[in-house]
This record gives sequence, C-alpha cells and structure tokens, in this order.
Amino acid sequence: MSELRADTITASDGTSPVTLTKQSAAKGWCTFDGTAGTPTFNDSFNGSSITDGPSSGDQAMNLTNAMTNANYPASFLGNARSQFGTPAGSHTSSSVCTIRSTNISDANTDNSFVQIVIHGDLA
Amino acid sequence: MSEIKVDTLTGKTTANDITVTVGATATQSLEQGLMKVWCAYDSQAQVIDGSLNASSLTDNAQGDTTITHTSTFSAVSEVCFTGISSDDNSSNKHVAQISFARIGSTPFTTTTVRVSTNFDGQQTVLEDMDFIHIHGLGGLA
Repeated sequence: MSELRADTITASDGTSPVTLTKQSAAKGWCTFDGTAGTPTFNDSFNGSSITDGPSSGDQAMNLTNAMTNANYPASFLGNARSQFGTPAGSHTSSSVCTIRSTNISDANTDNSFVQIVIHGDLA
Repeated sequence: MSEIKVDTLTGKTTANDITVTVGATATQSLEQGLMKVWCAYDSQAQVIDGSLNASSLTDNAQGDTTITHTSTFSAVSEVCFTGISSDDNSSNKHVAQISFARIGSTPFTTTTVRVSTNFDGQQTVLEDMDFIHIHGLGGLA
C-alpha cells in the first residue's frame, strides 16, 4: 500500500491536464429550484450563476471554467415526472448549459428540483 | 511522459482537498468531480446489477424505489443526482421517464435517494423498469 499526499497535482510539464487512469471526473454539477423567482444554486461545482428564462422551463447553468466546445455531455433530472432537454437541441455555448424542463403533459414548466451534471474536457 | 503509481491519494493539508489541473489553465477540486454513487438496477426484480457506494434497494411501491448508500453525504443540500431509465416490457413501451420521489421537501436523505419511474405519457401510474441507472455527485461526510 502506498499513499501520495499532495495539495495540487499537475502534469509533469507543470501546466497540462492530469490523466487519471480509468477515472474521469465530472467538470460541473449543480442543484437548484427552478420555480424560484430568481433561481440560485442549492449547491454547485464549477457553476457561477443561473440564468432564468426567457420561457417557462428554461434555465441555464453558467460555468466558471468553460468547456473546450459546446459538445460536452450533460445529464439532467428533476421531480414530478418531469422531462428535460435543451431548447435548441444543443448547448448554448462552451460556458452555458441551457435546459428546458417539461411536465408530464409536455408543457414547458419550471421544475423545483433541478439537477445537472456535466462531463467532458475543460478549455 | 511521467507516471506515478500509487494506491491512495490524500490531501496534504486537508485530506479530501486536492487540486488538479483539468484544462489548459483551469484547476478544479478532484474530490468535487468524482462520482460518489452510481447504481444500475432493475426495479421490477429489485436487484442491483452494478454499483458504487450503493448498498441496497427498498421497494416503496410500484415504480418507486429508494437506494441506500454505504457512505453518507455531508448534507442533503450537497447532493446532485441524475439518471436514465428504460424498459423492455411486452408492450414495447421503451420510453420511460425518471424523476425524484420526494420525501417531504426533498427526495434525499444523507444516506438515500428516492426515485420514481413511469412510461412516457402515463400521468397517473408509476411503473417499475428493467434498467435504471443513476449517479450522484456532491460531498461525502
């Protein structure tokens, strides 16, 4: 058994991303109440703020550190038999992850328990 | 290319606080990015097919299952779960919805998450599914 103690790990060139064998860490996640007048994070990782609207059910998680492009994988979950997708069929940008939530009747509806997880590579 | 082979990584200053370079210049907390729970299960058979830090299932009702974790989260506000579900029943209703079943104001305790599933368009009836995959991030106690 060996143990390495360190506060910061960087690739050997001092700047490049570290490769974790058989591991891929999430690059962002958050949880918030989308029905709030001004939604704020209950908790988040790499989230700077939430943009509400313009339509009901639409919210965006703005990232502190941007992804390399807008093609990163993201998953969503909420309560009340909800469904989630993206308004434009894609993420808004490398630093904005926009969701659209609908209720069981497929009507755009804010969800009170939104959870977002983002994977991929940071810029 | 250099490689360090080690069995355990621990923060020197704080045990769970290790900063990793993850982009050209961006750094992030290693602990915050690592999955804390994942569970692939069959809610019809109430069987866990594969898991990390998930110890058992509780069948609350049809389409309503509670997953119990081995290691607890530090607070219910520091939990983030997403997931997907599908089913291969005789009616070929493969499109399934997954959402949280709330316990009062939250679907979480620090040791459990409660999940409900139903077929798309089914407004009143919850259904068990063959394939439910969930994963959770956040801070462990």
